[in-house]
Amino acid sequence: MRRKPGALLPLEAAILDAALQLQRAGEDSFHGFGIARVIADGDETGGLTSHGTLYKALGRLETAGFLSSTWEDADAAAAEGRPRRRLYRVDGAAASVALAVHRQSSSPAPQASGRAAWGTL
Amino acid sequence: MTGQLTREHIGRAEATGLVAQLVRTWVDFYTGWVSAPAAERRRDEIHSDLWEQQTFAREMGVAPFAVAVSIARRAALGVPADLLWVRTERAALRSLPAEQKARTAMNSVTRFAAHWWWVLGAAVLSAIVLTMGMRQLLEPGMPYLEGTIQALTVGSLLAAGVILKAKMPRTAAALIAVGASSPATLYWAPIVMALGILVLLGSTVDLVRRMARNDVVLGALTAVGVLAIDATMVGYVWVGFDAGPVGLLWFAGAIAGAVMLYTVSRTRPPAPVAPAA
Repeated sequence: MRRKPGALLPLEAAILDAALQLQRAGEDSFHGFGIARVIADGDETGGLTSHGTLYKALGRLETAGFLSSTWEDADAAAAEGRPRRRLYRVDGAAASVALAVHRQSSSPAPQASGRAAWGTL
Repeated sequence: MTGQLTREHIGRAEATGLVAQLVRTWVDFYTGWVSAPAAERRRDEIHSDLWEQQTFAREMGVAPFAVAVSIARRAALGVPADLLWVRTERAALRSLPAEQKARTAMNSVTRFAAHWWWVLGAAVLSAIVLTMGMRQLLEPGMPYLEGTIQALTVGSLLAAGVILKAKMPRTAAALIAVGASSPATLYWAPIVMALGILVLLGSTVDLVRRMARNDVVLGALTAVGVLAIDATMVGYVWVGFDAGPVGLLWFAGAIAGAVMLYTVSRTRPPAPVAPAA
């Protein structure tokens, strides 16, 4: 089944939500494992998102314009003795609007009751 | 006791490293099919992710075995997404210029196999058929003269196609398509027949693609031309040879097919219609 243009998948919504949380906490950028950890913290199962699913979703969100990304300075990473990170930044305004629309569309429609219910028959 | 625990701990940490290495190997494998920039980005991101997860787990005091299981689970559950990503990237790759495609051994082998598999098949087929022809030729009294002539003709057509592939790809594809028609239908050896059918299909598709130049009619005429020549090769050997001079009428089909192919090769495809302003 094809999804509607502009609609977010649950994982994409979770990524944007986590990215906005980090932004509010003063962290302007994040890397893949970092966002997976934030999502896992807010998830009941607590499991980290799988590699393929996570980076594919990050790529889609970047293509859609919600995220932008750059490689961090390789020398800085080498100085800390670790691989360089791909750092993502979220477009706060666009992400907030998309999340609001996602929550609105995914919330169940209010049930008609009483006399109003007859009108729906 | 402490030494025992330390050894167990080191063993489990090695297990984490082994799982991480397996994941890196998997990533290196599937990124071999996509463009160089996409492959580099995915590899570096996963390598960074693995390092970050192991470092974070060490800081949190998570047992190495649990980290290894978590990494393995993340990699395994992501395999369908990895494969879909490769499919999407490969679709995008087809529109990229060649220099932007990943220069990996896997990509080179894949590209070579995709474009030349039927030529390799034709080379093998040619070697088999020519060997059969030479053997028959060397038999005392040459009891199978007709078969020998047929084998040497077919083998020569295939060999000529293989040799000309780089310089004259259309002629090469036509020669191989014609040469493969007999092994595909008349050689009652399963392997030779299967190889003949594959080579016939590969060369015909390549010829039609090259001659059609995005025009359906030209493509269809090319296919009909190849079929006419192939039908002559098969029909003459099957029933025409025994019919004496009348059997030579089969070659009218080959001539018609050759004329059709020549005409198609000289015809310019119609220019695309510009959209109305």
